[in-house]
Amino acid sequence: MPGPIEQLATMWRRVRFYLHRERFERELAEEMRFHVDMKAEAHEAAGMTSDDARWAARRQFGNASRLREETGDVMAVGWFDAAVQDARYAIRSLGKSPAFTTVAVLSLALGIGATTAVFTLANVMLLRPLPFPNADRLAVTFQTITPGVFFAVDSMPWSYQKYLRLREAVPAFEDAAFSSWEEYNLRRTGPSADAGRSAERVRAELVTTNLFSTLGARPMLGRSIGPADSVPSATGAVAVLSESLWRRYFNADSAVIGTTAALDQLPVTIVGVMPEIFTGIREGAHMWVPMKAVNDLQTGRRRRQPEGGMGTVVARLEPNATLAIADAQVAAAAREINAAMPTPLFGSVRAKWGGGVVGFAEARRHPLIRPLLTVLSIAVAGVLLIVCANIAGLLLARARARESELGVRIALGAGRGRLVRQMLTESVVLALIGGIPGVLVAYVGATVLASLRPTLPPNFILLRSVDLLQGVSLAPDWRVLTFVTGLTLAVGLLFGAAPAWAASRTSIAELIKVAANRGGTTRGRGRRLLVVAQVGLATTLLVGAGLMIRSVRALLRSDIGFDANGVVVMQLSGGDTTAAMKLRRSEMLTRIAALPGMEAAASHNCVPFNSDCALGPLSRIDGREVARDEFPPIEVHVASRDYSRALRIPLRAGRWFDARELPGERTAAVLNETAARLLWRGESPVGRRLSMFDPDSPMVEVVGVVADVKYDAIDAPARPAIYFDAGQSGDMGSVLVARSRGDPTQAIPAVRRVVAETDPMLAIHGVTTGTELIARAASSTRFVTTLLAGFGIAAALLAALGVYGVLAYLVSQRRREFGVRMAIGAQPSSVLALVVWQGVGLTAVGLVLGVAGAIAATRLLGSFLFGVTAGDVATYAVIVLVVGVTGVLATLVPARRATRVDPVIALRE
Amino acid sequence: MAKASDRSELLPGTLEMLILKTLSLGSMHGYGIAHHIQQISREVLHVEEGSLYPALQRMQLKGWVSSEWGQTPTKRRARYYELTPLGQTQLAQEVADFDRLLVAIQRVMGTA
Repeated sequence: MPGPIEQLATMWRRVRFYLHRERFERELAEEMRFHVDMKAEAHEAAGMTSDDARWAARRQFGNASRLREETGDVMAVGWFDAAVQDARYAIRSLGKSPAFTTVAVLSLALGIGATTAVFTLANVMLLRPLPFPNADRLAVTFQTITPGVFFAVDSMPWSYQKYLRLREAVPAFEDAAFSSWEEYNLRRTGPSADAGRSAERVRAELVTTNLFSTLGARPMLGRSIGPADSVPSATGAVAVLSESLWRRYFNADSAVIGTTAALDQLPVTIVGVMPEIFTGIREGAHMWVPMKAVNDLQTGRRRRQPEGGMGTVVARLEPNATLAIADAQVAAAAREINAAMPTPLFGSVRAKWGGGVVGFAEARRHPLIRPLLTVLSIAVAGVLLIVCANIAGLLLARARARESELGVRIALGAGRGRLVRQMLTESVVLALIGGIPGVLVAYVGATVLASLRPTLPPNFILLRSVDLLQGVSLAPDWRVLTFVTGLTLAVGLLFGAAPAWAASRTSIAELIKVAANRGGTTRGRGRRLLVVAQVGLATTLLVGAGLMIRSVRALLRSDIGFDANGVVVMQLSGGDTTAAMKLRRSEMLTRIAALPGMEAAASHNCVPFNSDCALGPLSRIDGREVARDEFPPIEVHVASRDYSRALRIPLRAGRWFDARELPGERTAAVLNETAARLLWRGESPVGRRLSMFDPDSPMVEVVGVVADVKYDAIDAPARPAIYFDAGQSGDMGSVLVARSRGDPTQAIPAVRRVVAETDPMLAIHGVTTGTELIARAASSTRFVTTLLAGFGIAAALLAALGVYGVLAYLVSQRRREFGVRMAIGAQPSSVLALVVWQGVGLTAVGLVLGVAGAIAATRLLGSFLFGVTAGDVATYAVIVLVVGVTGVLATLVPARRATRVDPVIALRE
Repeated sequence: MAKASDRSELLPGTLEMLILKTLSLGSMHGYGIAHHIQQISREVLHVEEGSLYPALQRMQLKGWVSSEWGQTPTKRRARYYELTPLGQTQLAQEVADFDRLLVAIQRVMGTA
């Protein structure tokens, strides 16, 4: 038995043989020639004539080509060699029909590419691990409050003080870090300062010094924040930049390390830059600063209370701890912590606290991502199947044309197995030729899809506003490459199955029969089935697209309860809370309203469609105490006087707040229509009394009813809501809304200026307009619509091509028959009808299947549909009509060709 | 020239040994190898081209012989085969095996 080294050497010689096969053949031929020559010379020397000697030598040598083959066989590996031979043959035969090959390769590249593009996104968002070591041990913790949901999300952030206790209380934590965030104006200071450059508005995460070590996140340049950084140095606190900020504001200059800058008035020294993939704990952070050092540097009234900020707690679990263990421990710890340090809620509601953990990757993943990817995958798989069906159809037609070739090969003794293998090899080779450019299509497609990606509604506590595609490379990794290879092979076998099956049934007897009377139509069945499948798939996709288009229209037209045009929305956080500042803040609203082109400005406490409104329980109604579960929680709004004017919320009954509401205690409330209906069931609520939160809270009088505004989500019905007057509550509000007469984006800089002049410590973020809020709220619906419409149209065109192909083939097969029919007096119109009816039959069967498929598949669209049901008859009717007409149109060209058959020529053929 | 009945079929497996032995005398082209075996065996052993070249190929694959194009004394291009060190070891092995086999057969035939 030869040793492993010899075996390797043998293998290498075989590889070299395959690499230099042609040279091998050439040299072997020359060697044979030499052998024969030498033999002939020997014969001649023995006295034969030159010609006789040559003949004798040839005869003795035997069959040279067989000998060459046998010698080659020594080197070759049987099955591999057969496969190589088949592949060479396949390439040659594909090269002989360039039109077919081009069409097939292009459609395959697109089909495989699109499918792989979707997989690339799924890979990035679902499969690829986070760029941290042992990322499966990272978890995000949250708090819950029961009963009654106080926030629209069943998760609450932590205060810093609670975090400190939590970190000690949970044994499953190896370490836990805390992160909150603020916005600042960033300026460079010291020698690198540029006087001409304006300040940059940045989002900074204020983090505990163990954040980077907990995550295992490494800087791209310099260093990250470490334990020693909790104390500020002479040059201020340390700061770490994000790659995007470094590129944008610091011109990607590596000499930035060690330079100084200021965040508002706060001195910082830049010590590092994080790689592009690291965008912080929350959405798109620009820099990171140590929370304690920043707090120490802020003096006087600007000093932040460390327990004031709410934040996210990210933990790294002990190696042997599971998420379930950590979850139970956090829940227990949260109960203890909240018993020891109760959080003030609305009034003095007694609530039960709890908590839990979610895996870090899961926490960042928006719940809409899976349904989005599911819809995408199904749509793209549908298109790929249609592509396969089309190519299978073309291959069947080719196989038909090559029947005589196959017949000859069978007659010469080729086994059926060998023929099937040959056909499958040909289709796999074809798939591979399409798959290679498909990888490029996939990369481009994934980039395009990523650029179209919807803005998903945020959930800050569970980090779900994190954009998973931010800074992520979409270049194919090993998973994508494995996927595309597997997909290509599978696709090749799939569309190769039909022609291979046809080849296996080729019988010489039948071939002779068919050759004798060229009218045979026995073999069209396979192609017709394929066309029916294509029409069906296209119909299903188009129905999905139609439903989505209706949803988008319904969404954009839906009654959101206010006039979004001309509205500016800004979120304000931090800042001063003194009584004097309260006065200044209400003056600020007056100043903004007085800006040129401005109509009104108001403060409020949540943003439309954003699910960030507080909810509270009703405690008394008309003097009677309300049972705990009698009514669902009610959205609590605190709005300044001009709020309904700024948003143009229609008044339904009574009045909005005015000067009758004296400062001090809450006395008045305005309800939305849903709340009015819920609480007084059709009776007018104006003048009735209720109280919120706690049975001991003061009763307020309902003074008016306004239209329902969708604060929860654009595609969810409005919840019952109650408005209080900001003047009576002494609430400054965290959201600023203003109405401009013109383009609201033009008004933003002036509004910003007034805010900054009022309180320089006030952080401005989430600046947007009403129309953009709607666009963002509808963006995932729009995204699905665009893609389904694109895929649906592609599918319909491919299916039309399929119908056309089958009928064109059918017409070419039956030329003689049509010729005879017309020769004996058939009208062209009856021949036309004959062909058209064939097409209509195929289309009709496809439509029936497609409608059935749509009924089954559109249920998956559930979470994206709005204002239309999955079984919407109108959509189905329109799509059936569109596909039907397309199908008939596709039959017309071949049908007309059938009527133009010249009987004389057709009969002569 | 010997008649067909005078020729002996080679024992299976012995062709490679004969080639190895022939090449141990020096490098040689295919025709030369066949010719040499025929001559030395006094026309008893005939090497069929149909087995010679596949055998040479097999032996190259196993690494027992290597080949190189060279010139014959009459200035013709020919492929010359040469024994590799691995081939020499193999030859020794095969000779030993063959001797044992021969002795065994002779014992059975009572001619030893």
